[in-house]
Amino acid sequence: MLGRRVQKQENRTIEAQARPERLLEVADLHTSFKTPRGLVHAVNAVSFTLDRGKTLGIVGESGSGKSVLSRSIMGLLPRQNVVREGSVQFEGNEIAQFSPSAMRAYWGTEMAMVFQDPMTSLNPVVKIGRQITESLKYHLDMHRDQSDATALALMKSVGIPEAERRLNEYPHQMSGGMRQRIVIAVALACGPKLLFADEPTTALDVTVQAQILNLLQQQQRERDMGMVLVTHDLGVVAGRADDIAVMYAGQIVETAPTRTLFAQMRMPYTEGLLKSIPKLEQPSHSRLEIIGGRPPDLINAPSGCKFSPRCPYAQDRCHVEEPPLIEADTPGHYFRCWYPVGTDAGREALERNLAANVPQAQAAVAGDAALAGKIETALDQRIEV
Amino acid sequence: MQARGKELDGVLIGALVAGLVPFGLIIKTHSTTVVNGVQTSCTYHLWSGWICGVIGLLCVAYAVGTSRHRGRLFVATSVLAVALSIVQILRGAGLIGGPCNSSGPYIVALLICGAIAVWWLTVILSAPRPSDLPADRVGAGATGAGMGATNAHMRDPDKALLRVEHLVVEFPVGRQATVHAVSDINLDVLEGETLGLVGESGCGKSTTGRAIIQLPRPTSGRVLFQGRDLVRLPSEELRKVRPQMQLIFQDPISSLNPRRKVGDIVREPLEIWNRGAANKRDEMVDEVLDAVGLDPNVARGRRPHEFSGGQCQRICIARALVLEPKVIICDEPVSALDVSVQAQILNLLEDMKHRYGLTLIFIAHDLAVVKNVSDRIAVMYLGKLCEVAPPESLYTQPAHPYTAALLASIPVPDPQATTQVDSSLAGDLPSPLNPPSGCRFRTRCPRAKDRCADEEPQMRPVLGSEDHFVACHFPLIEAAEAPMGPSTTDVAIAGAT
Repeated sequence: MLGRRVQKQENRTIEAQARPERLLEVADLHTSFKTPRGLVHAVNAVSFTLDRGKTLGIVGESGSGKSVLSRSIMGLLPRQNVVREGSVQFEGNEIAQFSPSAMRAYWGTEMAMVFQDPMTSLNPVVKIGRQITESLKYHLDMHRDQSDATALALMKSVGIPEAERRLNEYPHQMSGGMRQRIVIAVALACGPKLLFADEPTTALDVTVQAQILNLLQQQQRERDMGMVLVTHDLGVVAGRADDIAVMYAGQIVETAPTRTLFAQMRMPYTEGLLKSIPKLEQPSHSRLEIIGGRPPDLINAPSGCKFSPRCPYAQDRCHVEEPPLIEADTPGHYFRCWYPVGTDAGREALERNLAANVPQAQAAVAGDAALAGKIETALDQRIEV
Repeated sequence: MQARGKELDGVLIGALVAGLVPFGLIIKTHSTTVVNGVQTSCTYHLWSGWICGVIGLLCVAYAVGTSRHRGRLFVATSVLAVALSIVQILRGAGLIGGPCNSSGPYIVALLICGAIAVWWLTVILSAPRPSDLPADRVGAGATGAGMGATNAHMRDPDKALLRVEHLVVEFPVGRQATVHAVSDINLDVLEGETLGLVGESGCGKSTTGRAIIQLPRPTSGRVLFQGRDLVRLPSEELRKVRPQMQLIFQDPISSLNPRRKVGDIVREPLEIWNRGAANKRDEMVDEVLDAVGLDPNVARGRRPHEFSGGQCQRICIARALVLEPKVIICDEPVSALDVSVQAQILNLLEDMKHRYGLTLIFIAHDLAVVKNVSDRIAVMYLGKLCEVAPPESLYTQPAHPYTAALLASIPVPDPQATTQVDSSLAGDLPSPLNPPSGCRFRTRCPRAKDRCADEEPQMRPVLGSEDHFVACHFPLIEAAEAPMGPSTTDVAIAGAT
């Protein structure tokens, strides 16, 4: 028992010495679900890389496939009725085809996940202490006193007051913010190199959200972890992610270093997302720009560009020909669009659409909510036909 | 007031039980030793009396415990049971009417006494008792003058469409514990104005919204809508006022009946209130569906599950609008929606407000959203108001430390913005079962001093601003001293009532 533990620790130090900078490399990942209606293409040809100690923000509306993406990388999807293809390399090892039992060695120690809802991701009938020490005992073969001490230190580091007392409490005795801290402590227990945070603050209040995001950022810096922060709020990732990938209909439609993305966004969808957020510095009653319609049905996705039915810039070509990921002027900035925002082609396309009274363009520019609703109804009917 | 009422209830019950036990013992002695002749029927009286008594006492205890003593019929029944039990016991013991003889007059007398006692009891329990209250908490309606400054931010009552005065909502949760959801809140909304109510979850903002519409009725206080006090309005009268005030809820999908067609859902209010000719109602439904951006021909025949969350919220708005209400209370209408849909619904509410001449009370936890739609914002913390201000000055010059913390914790979609780690708020909301003394925010406040624990801060105007008010001893910007005497507004209320 002791020998095994020593060996595991030795392995960890050797790994630490020979650390490759590239932590995660996802290439052409496809995930589909088999349903009676047909295949749901939830993740469609997604590729990205993540370096050690960096944060990638994945942003998109609900139903854009961002949660499925992080679960496919972790191998957390059910085995039945799921088709997963493509390559996932973790520190140079191909893990995409690993069975769940092989993945067990990775879960907790190499990669961990913080889920959206802290109310349901903890076991309600097991004390907090045991939920944190479980993985310590399993992966690191710790003894009880040692694991208890580690759990205590973890709880203090995630900012839980009276940690000694809390160890013997049940999840229901804590507030939502406290529970999310516990979930983070559970995820960090074995010192993972990669942390997936899947909408970690959506279920929490704004003030608690700021606390949790600061905590995640601080822990990530201290531990030099890679982090994938999945959220629907561009505001959450703006100050915290190094790179951002915007997802739409299972695809990455724009990816860039954070500052580049905000300064020179090219994809109309990213622009729509950003402009629809009410901002504090705007005067009250200022009109928000809106995107009409809703994300497409992933069984029968529209032909051409997936965003074209909702896009204020869309031209005939967009409905027919799907744009590839095009590299922009700035290195590391890729987007999928024929008439990108901020270029002459994009401006002309928008003007042409406004002149032709295309409802998508009018709804976006005037913020006409009733028109946006009509676009959605029209799109629904097209799907049915 | 409620606390004092509870104490009184406890004393009453205690006295009743304490009095009944020795009384029962005396009776027991009498029944066994004195009365011997007609044993069976007397024991029958005795036992039925005891059972009646126990049931009555349980009823009273339940009524008090669940704070339902306002239902006079309920109290009357239970006290009558107690009275009847006393009669039965007395008869069983042979103390009145002789052993098991007919004793009608005694019973009638006792019943009348009981009824009078019940009437008194309910009057005492349900009416506000001004003498029990500290001077500044007395409702304007009760005394008319002698107010403190908790309502310095209130405007001319003649102009306000809706006026909330000293609103208190408490929920008993058993074991003598009470959730102090809303504690003494004053608000007013002018016609055509949008009032934003913002705060963390659990601060009582939704409860305030629901108490305004009397769902449930508040524990105390007044809600004046067009000059009528909804709290004191009888149920039938209140029902007639309700079409003018509508609610929109957070979860659009669960607030629509999944089995009914959208056309019927939106048409139902018209049928209940018998608005318009029967053959015109379909046109009215189509018009309102069209206004909220749904194609009436498609939407009417479908059921809610065929729509997205954003579309369901549009249906909810259509249902609220169809009766052409004056006030719509929006209870977190966009919290469950995606950002892109959120923008649609916010713009739609704004359009509907202009088209139908609405007054909105907009409740949300996101200050950026509230700022976008509101003309005036009230910040709530643990059942109290912290700050009332127009959106611009609230954003540029927050006076309450809590408002500043709320502003700092909103994620800004701009990578250049520096995240202020220090100014974000530590800890959680304290329990509303046992709120902190003095200022309720002091447990999390970086500026808290001894005074904050001892003295509750009153609402006072910020210096150099006419419509910016703060309830804080140590505000971030200079504020005027809280006026101690009756302010001009209070005198105006006194004159009006």
